[in-house]
Amino acid sequence: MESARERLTANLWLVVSRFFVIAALGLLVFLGYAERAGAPALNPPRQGVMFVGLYLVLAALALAWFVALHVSERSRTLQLASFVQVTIDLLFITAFALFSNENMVLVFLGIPVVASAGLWGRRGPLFCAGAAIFLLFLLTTFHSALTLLIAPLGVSFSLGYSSYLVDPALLIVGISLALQSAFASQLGRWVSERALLLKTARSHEPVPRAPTQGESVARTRQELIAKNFELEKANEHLATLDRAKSDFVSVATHQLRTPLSGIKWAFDMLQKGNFGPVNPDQWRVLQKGLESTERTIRIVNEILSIDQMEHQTLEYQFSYRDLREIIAASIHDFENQAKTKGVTLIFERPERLPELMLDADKLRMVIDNLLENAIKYTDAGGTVDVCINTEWLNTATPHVEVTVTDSGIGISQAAQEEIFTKFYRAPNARKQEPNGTGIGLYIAKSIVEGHRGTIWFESEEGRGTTFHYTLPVHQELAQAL
Amino acid sequence: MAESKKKVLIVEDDEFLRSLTAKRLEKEGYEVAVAVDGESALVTAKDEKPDLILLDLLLPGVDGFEVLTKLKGSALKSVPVIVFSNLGQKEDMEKARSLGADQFLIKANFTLDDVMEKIKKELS
Repeated sequence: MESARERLTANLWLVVSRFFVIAALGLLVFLGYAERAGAPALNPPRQGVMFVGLYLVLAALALAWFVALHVSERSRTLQLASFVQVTIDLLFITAFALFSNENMVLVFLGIPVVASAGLWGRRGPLFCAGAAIFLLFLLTTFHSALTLLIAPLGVSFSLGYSSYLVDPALLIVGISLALQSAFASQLGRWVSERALLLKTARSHEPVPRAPTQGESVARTRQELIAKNFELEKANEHLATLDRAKSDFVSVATHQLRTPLSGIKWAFDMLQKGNFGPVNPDQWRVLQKGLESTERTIRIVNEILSIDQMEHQTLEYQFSYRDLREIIAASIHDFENQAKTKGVTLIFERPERLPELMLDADKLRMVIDNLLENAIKYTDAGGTVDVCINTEWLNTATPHVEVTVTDSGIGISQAAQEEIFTKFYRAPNARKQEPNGTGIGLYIAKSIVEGHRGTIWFESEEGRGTTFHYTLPVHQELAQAL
Repeated sequence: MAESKKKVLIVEDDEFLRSLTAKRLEKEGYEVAVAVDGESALVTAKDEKPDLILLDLLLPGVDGFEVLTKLKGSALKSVPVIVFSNLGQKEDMEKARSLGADQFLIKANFTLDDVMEKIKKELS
């Protein structure tokens, strides 16, 4: 199988060589004419030389142009070049014929005609026929004007025959060209069919009937239109479903939040004594209720976040904040839970920490999530240790690393691969805490990466887990990612 | 002469949330006015001339956004408005801000004590 490049190069040489064939032809014509006693007004070989010389100049220019082309990439330009060449062929052969009075020369119009059949299929020869006739018409009609133009060069042309006789000649030329076109287009079709036959013979496939150009194009077009319509309908359906889901999610989250606010405020106000003094037992119960409510609210917010994330409507609002404050606030919220369970919460708070460019609300979700998991999956007597590592603050990419270490049930090797997947829950986690949604770590990863940080972990089942995440000090993009 | 109490207008259609909020505001020392829907909100605002408005967004009839627009286009435009809603979509928050809301709080994310802090900050 020859490559496209080889084919193009072959075409290039064909185009170039044709120029020289025509030039040689012209030379022959005029030399031949010069031998005989010719018609009165033509002065060979000077006009002849001029003509051929002009042709050779054009050929040289074309050749230079082709050499400058990177043929392998410019098949389009090669097409244009071939078109130009065919036109020039027509012009010159016609001119040769007319001004040398050698009608035999018109036979050589067959060369551009056949070439055009190879290039453009059936339309090529028709173009040639029409162009040739048109050119002949021009040359005969405007002969006098042309002569005036060329007069300064010291040459003159005159028609060998009077224009009355040229017209029948034109008619004959036209018919012969039409016949040649028909032949050439048929030739073109035979050539392409044969090429197809060869190709299929080589690949041992059954020979399909070569569809006519028109047929196959029309059929493909129909298929494309049908497919396009199908796809548009499918897309519309998906968009509707998607919007319905989004609307459902936003309606659901709103509807859920309202009663949740009621419960939260009621418990909070009760607990703070707004409706009378509260004894320690009552306080504890209310605290449990508050924690449950808070957890539910967090889940509702996470569901909304996921939905927004998937629609890229989650925008980050960065500002310089004290990371220690955010972590401290979260730890404060979880203190009760940890104490009740018998888990020790430790925060290794660095004395000095520059402000980091953060989206505080979203980052709070990450911190809450990791803390909640750590406490949830650690048994009584265990510890959860939150630490901010500042050793990379003075490097080329200043960042901090936060670690959350627990002495809990750990993550098995098998589960580790999937731990960040949406809705995934490790088997041992599911056993310990059946009510989990599995979206926390997915969101945490998304948010950390939204801060251009990275999140990873080390864990051994039964020994404990350490989650790490990095946060750069500055964000190049202060706006929504 | 004692400093006059600041007045807060609560626009909220849920009865329980409204009563809890009103109770908490009174405990904090504010005078409280209430409206249960959008139309009466505008009337009450004009009559009572509050120092701050807590505005819910999903209201029967005239919704919170319209109330906000009308407030900010009236003589009451200098009164700070805290939008207090459970809608959390980004578009809602942006729309509220562009209509002139001074703050946007999601009810479920705060306790009433937090809200008191925010009001105090807004009024100072």
